[in-house]
Amino acid sequence: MKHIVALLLPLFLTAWTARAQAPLAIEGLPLDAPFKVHATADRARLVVDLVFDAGWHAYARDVGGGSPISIKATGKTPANWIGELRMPASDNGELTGYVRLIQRLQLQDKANHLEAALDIMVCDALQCLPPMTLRMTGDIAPLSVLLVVDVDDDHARRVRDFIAAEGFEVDMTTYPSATTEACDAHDIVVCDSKTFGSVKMDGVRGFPKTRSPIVAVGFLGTELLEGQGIAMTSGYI
Amino acid sequence: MDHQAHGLDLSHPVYTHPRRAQFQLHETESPPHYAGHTSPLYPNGAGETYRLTKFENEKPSTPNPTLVSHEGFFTDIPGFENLAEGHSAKALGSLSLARQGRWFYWGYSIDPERMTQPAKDTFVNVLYWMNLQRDSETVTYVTDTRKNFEVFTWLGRDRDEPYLRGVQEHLPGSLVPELREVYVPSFEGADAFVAKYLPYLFAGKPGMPTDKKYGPLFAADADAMALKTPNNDRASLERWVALADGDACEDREHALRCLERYVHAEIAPKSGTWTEWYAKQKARICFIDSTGFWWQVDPTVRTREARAARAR
Repeated sequence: MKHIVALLLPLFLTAWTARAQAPLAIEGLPLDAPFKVHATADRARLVVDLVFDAGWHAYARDVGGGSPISIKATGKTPANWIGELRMPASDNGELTGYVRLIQRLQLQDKANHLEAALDIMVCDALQCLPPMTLRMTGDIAPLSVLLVVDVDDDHARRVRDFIAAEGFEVDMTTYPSATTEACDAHDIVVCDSKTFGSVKMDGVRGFPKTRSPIVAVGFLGTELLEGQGIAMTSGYI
Repeated sequence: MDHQAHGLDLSHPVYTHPRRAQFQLHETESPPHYAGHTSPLYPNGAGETYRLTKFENEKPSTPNPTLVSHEGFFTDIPGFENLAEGHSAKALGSLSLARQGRWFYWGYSIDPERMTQPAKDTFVNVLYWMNLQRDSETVTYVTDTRKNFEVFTWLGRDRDEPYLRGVQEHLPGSLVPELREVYVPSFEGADAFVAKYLPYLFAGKPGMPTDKKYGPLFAADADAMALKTPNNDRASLERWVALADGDACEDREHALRCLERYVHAEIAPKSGTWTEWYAKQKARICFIDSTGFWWQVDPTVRTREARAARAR
């Protein structure tokens, strides 16, 4: 019954609950700081976007002029930090303009909260400001997946249960029933397919446009890419 | 395409995080028809052997078409990720895992009864990888790329009974009538055509003819040919810019027409000189065939700009 309800939801709901990942709260950034910060996280990565005002920079590594950027877990964050902080390559060690920092992590099984600290020192040609520690906090919900299938059958339910068992929140709908609103409300859209010759094509070519990332699977995936005009399939000969 | 893959870029995050996908790779003799060819994941060819692995436990009971991306079809799109090739009876270059902007193509079943464990791990990683791509710029398909014509020169050529429809029907069918007239419909004719015209082909511009079967038809750019400037080279763009701001002459007219033809209206200068325009746009632009043969904003640059705007 639960499966049927999930399948019919997009037919009857006019508004999906938006469940895309929310940005983390940032504390400790002075209003007049010469850079801006935006941070998000899921259960696999902490992503920090920095934008420095013209003339200002931070350091990717210790070049003798200032402390390099670092991120560490704080509080009782139940996460394993995996590998080193990833940041853009920089010949002179300075980070300017737009910079994306990525820290790979693994939240422990039932953890749903992340606390981290960004240590940063910013300088211009004449001076360096005192080192800052920015506190980043937020709840980390499982990623939400909208699974789109041709029909609600045993195959579709196996795929749905597999994705759910891997820690994602899964809703399921069919190609003809999918809406932009439903797609936009999920972190990821997975458009499934059985093999060529055993799928129903209804609704694939007219699939709604969405801002969400899409994983296009198999034969219907190629049809979807062509239908949406995505430059990945022009190679058919 | 079957249940297998090769050419995996195992250092990519879709194979490493948060799960480490542990594929069993089997060293296998490369099919004879792969010899002498390249692809996005084999820029130097596949070699005498290559390493096959399974994404599904068994071969599907029915054919399962996948993307074809012979060398160069999409590699001019900055940020395009070629992550695995499918096991194709046709040729090297059948992508089975690939990403362009917010779109990921997974060329295998995701039925857990069919998937191998490393395929399951990879799929989980793909979902997390794609969560990073919500604001990635995706470019739109307008036309086939010029690389189709290179493929026609070799596809089925070595068979006992060579595949002739490519050079006799599909290649000329993809050309505007005046170019069709100078083409000789044979493998040798295709060789000569590619050698002479490939750097100057274009299609998909507003007002250009299209065909019901072949879509936008290809023309050869007489202006670019006169200047000996391949239309997708940055050195050509820089020459056109220099000529456009130089003294009046025939070459300047050629250059101005090239700039008008290939610089997308979104970024074309509204005022000032072409030299000033290029100084501002130099680091932001790229040339892409499949969007309609344009110098346009690099989608990875546009992605960074959008992320920076959001952070501000």
